[in-house]
Amino acid sequence: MTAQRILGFGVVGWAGMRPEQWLSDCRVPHAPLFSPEVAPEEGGEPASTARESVWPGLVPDNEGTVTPTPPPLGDVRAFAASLFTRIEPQLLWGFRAEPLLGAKGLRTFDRLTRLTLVAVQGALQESGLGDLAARCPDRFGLAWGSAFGALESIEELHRVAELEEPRFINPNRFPNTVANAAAGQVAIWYGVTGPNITAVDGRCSGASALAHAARKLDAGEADCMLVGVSETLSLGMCQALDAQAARAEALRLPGFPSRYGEGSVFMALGRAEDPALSAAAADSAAPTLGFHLATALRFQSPGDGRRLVYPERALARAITTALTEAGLSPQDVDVVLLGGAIVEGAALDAERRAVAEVLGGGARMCVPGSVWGECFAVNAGFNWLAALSLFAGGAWPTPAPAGDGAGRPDGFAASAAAQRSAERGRPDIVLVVSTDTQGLAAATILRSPSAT
Amino acid sequence: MEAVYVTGMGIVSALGSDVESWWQALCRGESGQGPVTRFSTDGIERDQACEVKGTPWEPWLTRSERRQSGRAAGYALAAARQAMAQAGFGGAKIPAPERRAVVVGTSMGEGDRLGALHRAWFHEDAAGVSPGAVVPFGSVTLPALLARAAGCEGPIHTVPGACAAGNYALGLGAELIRTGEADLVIAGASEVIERLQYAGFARLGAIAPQRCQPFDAGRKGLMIGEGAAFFVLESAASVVRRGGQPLAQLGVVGLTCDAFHITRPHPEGAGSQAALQRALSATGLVPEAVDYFCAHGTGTEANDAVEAQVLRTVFGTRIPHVSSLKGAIGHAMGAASAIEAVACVQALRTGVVPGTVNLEAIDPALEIDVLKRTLRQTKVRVVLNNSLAFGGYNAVLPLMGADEPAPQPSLGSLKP
Repeated sequence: MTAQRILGFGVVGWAGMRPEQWLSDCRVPHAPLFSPEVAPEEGGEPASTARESVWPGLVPDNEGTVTPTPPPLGDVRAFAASLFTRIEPQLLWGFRAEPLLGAKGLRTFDRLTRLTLVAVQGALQESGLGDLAARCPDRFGLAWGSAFGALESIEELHRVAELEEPRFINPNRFPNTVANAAAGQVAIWYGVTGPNITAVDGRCSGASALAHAARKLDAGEADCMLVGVSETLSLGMCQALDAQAARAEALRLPGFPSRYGEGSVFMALGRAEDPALSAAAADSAAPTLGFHLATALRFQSPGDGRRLVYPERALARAITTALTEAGLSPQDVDVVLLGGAIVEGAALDAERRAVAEVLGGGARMCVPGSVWGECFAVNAGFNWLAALSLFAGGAWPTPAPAGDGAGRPDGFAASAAAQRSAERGRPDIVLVVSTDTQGLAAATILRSPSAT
Repeated sequence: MEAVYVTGMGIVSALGSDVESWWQALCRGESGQGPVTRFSTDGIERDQACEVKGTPWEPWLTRSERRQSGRAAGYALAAARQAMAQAGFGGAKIPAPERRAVVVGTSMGEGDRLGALHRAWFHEDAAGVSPGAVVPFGSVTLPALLARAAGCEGPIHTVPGACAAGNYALGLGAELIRTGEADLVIAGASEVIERLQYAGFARLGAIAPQRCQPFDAGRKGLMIGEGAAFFVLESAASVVRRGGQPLAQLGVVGLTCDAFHITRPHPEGAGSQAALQRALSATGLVPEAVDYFCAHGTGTEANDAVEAQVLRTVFGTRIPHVSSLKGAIGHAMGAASAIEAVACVQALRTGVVPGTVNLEAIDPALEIDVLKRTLRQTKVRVVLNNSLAFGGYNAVLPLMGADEPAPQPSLGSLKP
């Protein structure tokens, strides 16, 4: 499989993450994202704040030292926070797409669709491919992933059917309950008529979407694929997560995530050597942000009678496969962005062990998700963003802590590759990993545009 | 282009839950329709569906699987195990675990479990929410259960392509083999009838009051169905290595998006036509080669008109045999095109083309001929399995006889 060029990026995230500031610092082009137009709903506090100190996990201080402490939550937990005793959902409840998309046509869309439309807009604008998409709509496709998809809309209409009557279900809202609704609405909004694939593979949904997109580009079925992930959580899901957290607390399970987030991330992906895409990107002065070299997914059975597993073996195999497909050796990887959203816990330890098994004990591992919380499928999307930021000279993300203290090497122990990158100030090769406790694991390899 | 073979298939459907009895009932022109028994239809103004009767999937599941599975997973496991049995799965020469993959199509997954959770929450507040409630909705649940059953350690995917999900799963499964990512893929789709879905289609005015009559002048809408169909797909090398018996070949799925309306097809069928043409060209087929067109044929006014128009445009005066199975098995949504693919394979194997149950008088405005009754003893070498879906998704899957030479594809390119 050949490499794909990343030509544009769009992101919507919790305002407290301040992606605009971060991207600006890192000189990655970006759309005006999750902006102060965000308004509260039903009397809540504004979801977007001007806090200046909410991104310390990725911004070095004056000494160049990365602060590993997670930031304060900001004001977004105003959303229904009183409902939950153990988790703090950072939901984009008040998100308004109107300032970016216009008021017309959004009325029946759910939040998932609105977030996705805005992220795609960012990717198209930054890639400079909007005009080309309008002229050749059948050569543009979409591959989109989400762990929970249309859950919020399903809950909304279940509520109507259960507490009122089925005949009160709004037929215009019913299509939102189908998992591919957001992808279909994106196609309508931007006129994209090529292959349109929705992937629902838990935390590995982003990797799945990338893999589907790469195959379509490789087969010549499309020349540009808009690839992304989105996640919104429903109240019911938050209740269930709260209940899970309570059980984890009762069982004294360490490292259970308490902070949950939402968002959407999109990239415009084209074949590396496509002349038409190159010309269009050059016309709009859109830089190449990076290259996608390979994505591999592997499964590991939890074993008889068990439901869940931390798929360490599967991740090791996925990394090995991705490296082989990319034509790289383990020593070529400069930094690994782990998929977990917490810095302690069995899931992240399993990821660390798998990475160390393939790349060696000196592999440099980071956990950017410790800043934004558990965002399920979007964890991977934010890690793509972190990788592109690093390519553009951004700060190194939060290091992973040493692990369980059983003698495994520190995440910051210097490998030869990490040493090279540190000297240059930016990495050439970033490995993004994702795991889902049902047994799926994924590895994605991204390359810097300046790497030789 | 590397050939991708079907070496096993299995089914759970309102009309039968093994391929042979299902096929015989289909060819006899039977219908699986009956009153909805799974939930109350009070306030919905419709009460008919094509439900899977009884629990025919249970014998195929282990005790542990029965405990962990909702209906969607139960259907899927039963259909997949039938397929694996037919393929002679389990021999020493079966591809290594890492070379086996799973691709599952669905629209709502375990929708009934989600409904149960929501009902508990709405009526009992937080106390009704089980701590384990997140797990069953984990979107990896369906393929993970199948991967465990089949000992797969390669990639697993869920593709919720709405009512085209079955073709998506089969097409993307074949793609994993063609790209060399797998040698064997368990691919198919599963769907359960759930109250919200049923009520939603009713509120859209899409469900027929009495029966589904595809392409009929008096058609009044679709009939909701459910079920699953799964296939074992293999590379040519794997089939040869283990002496497998291929049943059919899969071509390249044609995927497009209407980008027109979230529920209605493009009025001129532009996306559907492009998908059909993409499937033909990517597989290396010409329209004249197609012997049977297994229509999406939902029995709604818009769908049948668009499909007829696409057929006239692509095939001109040489339209192949056309029929719809939805009068017999209902519209199984995400599983529909996977179930219909079973009929496509059977048509290729037997030379029998099933008719269109409940079709009495073909709508003259459609200007196409549609099989009313089962056509026996005809030559079937190439079949197109057509599907359209919410979101404007179009997926067309070509299937060829097992002995047909592998066609050579031609691909498009960007011409700004």
